[in-house]
Amino acid sequence: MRSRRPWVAVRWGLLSVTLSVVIGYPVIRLGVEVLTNFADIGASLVHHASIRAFANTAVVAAATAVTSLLIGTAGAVVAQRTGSRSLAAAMISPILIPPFVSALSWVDAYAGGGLTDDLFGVRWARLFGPIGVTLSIAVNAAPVVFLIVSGSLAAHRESDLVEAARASGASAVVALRSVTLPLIRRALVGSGAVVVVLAANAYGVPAVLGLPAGFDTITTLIHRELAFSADAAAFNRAVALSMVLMILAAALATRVERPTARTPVPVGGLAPHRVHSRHRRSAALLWGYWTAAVLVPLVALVLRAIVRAPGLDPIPAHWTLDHFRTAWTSLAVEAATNSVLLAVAAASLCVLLGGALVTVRTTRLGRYFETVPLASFAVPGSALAVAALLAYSPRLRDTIALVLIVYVGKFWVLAHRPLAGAVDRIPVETRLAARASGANEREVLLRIVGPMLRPAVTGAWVLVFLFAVHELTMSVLLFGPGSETLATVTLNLRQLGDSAATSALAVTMTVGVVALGAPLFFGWKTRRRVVTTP
Amino acid sequence: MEDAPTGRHDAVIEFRGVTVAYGRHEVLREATGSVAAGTTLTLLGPSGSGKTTLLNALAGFVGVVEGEVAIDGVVRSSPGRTDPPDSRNVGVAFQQIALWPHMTLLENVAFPLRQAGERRAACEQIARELLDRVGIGDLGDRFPSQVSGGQQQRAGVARAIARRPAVYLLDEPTAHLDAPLRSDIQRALRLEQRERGAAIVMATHDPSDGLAFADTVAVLREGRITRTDTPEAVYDDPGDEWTARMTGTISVLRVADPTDLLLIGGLPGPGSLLVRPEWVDVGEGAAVATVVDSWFRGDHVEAGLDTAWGSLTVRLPRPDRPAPGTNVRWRLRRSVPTGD
Repeated sequence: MRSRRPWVAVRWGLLSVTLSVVIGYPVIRLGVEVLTNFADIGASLVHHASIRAFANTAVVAAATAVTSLLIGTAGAVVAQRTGSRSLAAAMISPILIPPFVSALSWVDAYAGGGLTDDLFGVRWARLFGPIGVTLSIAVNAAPVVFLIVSGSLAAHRESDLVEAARASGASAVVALRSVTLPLIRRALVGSGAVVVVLAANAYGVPAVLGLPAGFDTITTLIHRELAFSADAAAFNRAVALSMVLMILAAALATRVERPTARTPVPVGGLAPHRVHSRHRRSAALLWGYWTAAVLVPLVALVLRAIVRAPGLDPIPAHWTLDHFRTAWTSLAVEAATNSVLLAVAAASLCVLLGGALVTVRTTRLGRYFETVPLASFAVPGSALAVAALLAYSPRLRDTIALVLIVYVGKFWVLAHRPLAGAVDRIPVETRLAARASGANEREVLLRIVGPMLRPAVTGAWVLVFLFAVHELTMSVLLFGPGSETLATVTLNLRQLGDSAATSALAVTMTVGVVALGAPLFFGWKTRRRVVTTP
Repeated sequence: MEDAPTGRHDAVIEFRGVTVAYGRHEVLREATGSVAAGTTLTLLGPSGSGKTTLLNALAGFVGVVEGEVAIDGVVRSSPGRTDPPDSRNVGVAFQQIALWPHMTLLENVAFPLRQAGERRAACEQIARELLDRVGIGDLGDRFPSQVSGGQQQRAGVARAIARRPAVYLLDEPTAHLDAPLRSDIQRALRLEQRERGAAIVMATHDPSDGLAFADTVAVLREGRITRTDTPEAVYDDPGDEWTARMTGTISVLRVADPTDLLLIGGLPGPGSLLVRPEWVDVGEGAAVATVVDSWFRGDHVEAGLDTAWGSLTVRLPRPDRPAPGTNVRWRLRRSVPTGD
């Protein structure tokens, strides 16, 4: 049979060039910079600000991992036991809220002058600082743990195995310790690694909740060194910090559980299970967590956006849409347009490149190629952005093209993994059946494989779009006049002190993201009725 | 490459010395056989014996490292050459069924017809007739996920025969069906075969399917065809204990003393004798055995006996159903040496 086609070379060429442009060259350029300025950069690393930022980042990452593992695992186990779709949806819901919006909503809810302060005189003194930063990132990262652990529980049919253990005389605690936890150990380690990467990557949350308390992480320090410092050594410090982040990420990349591939979204797919009273108590606790961490802050964010002035009671008589009108300046509209265009371009390119990568994965070189986007996903966005700045300044500095390059490098894997997973799930017999039915390879691709992959392609596109449209960590380092994104404009507004307009923009962004992302994560689609008549 | 006529046109499909290897591991060795128009070859063997691999080689899904496959007198597979499946004029029903989930049952069955250049309306009509023939004519508008496994399997069979190919390659085509539906499918295939003169190659691990449906049976073991014969010949004279067990219920009696043969009537002994249940006359002869258990089988009763030469399964007419512990007389009407 024919094995080589004219477009094979084109495909390899496209992949090689793109990998080089979006990942390879920037990383090499960063390495060269470190080697050529080794003495200065080495000295930068022992600068007291760097050491403090490293320590803070390490503590936040570790504490975030522990917290989100507890929340996500508890949510997954209880949702599995109770079969509650609404609880599963609630546990996943924070993934749809941009992390910095989540942090803003916490400020509107729990800080001095926030909703709980206005209504009950209760404020959270430690909101600004390491505890607030850690808990906020943990709430945003917990859905990742929930999805991975739920997938692992479902794949192992854990509920059946636990019932077998209980029927053999094991208590609930013994069953959890001797059956459930060993089964999901790999998922826990993998999702913990993902959370560490996400925490080290976070910029928006530390910027909103850390900086007001003087709490720096590596990402906020890199941003300050690049954006505000007039010190010549500042750039070296940013490069040094980026290099260290990259090395840490490379070490963690081997542990990163694939965040999207083959992880079934459990909403709607939970096995019915006997519901015990302790499950109900656990579910009530989780609903309490969701109310405090997600619902109340979102309500506060919306109220801050629609109540006429701070300090007024949040009653309908004080509601107005004026803040939305004032927030949507021409700059905000231009930034929103940039965000959407960037997200559309990044999603389309990532799906195209993810698909191209899937077609070469049967070769050894293709498998090597596959690991590069995965490693790139593990690299914190700050480091990628600095590498891209080094590689493509001054020609592309402050342009949308530069932002697009790092978006593709960062989010490529989010398109590739679902596509690869979907291809893996197509039984080889379906293709053979088409060949035996008289179809040639082109017809098999167009009429059999293509339609079967359509949901995965759509899902991959939406996933990349969602991540790109509210991205902040990289764009905040790369934007310039004319290339602002909605996230950077929103954060700048906040730093200028206009909290109502900030909340109005944040609400708009969240509504858009939820509207687009909810069908993807919650599986809201027409389900076919399964008929089993003989 | 030009098609090379084999010069033997009596067989619709013929395979000679076919060896298939995955890497360095040979999973099928030197398989040889042929099927004439309107006849059926059953590949009978346990899991991993090479049945599906042989079907894959005939369909062109895998290449051969030795030997050749010819269809309608044209060599389609030989070392270094594997004509694609769509050029072979075969229809395949898969063990995993492999219906396309985004198409209705009707669209699944119509797809091969569209590939053959039929007009859309004709495709739909023929596909509906085929679905009717396999008993699911009213389910054509449903998707595979909306019907049961048995209904999917029937649609898979209808799809395999839709193009009216010269050869039907069927891999466990009735595995997901209960007994009455199996008979329905087999009747539908027989009817199709008679009308079209197609050759059928069917893989199965079930002796009742394998023997009932076949004109010729090929028994496969560990990647080799160990016996090719008519179903009657394979059943009546399996040759060895393994083949005997593969083709039906069998007992093995170990007779060391030739004088024992006078008692139980076994010939040609001595040695190990293969005995089918219906080859034993119970209630006659001089040998005595104890009933261990008995099972009601509808039209007859099957009983397990403990004899001095080993366990023996026998067939009794209804309503005889001896209680466990009962002593019965018996003698062999027929037996064959194991040849092991």
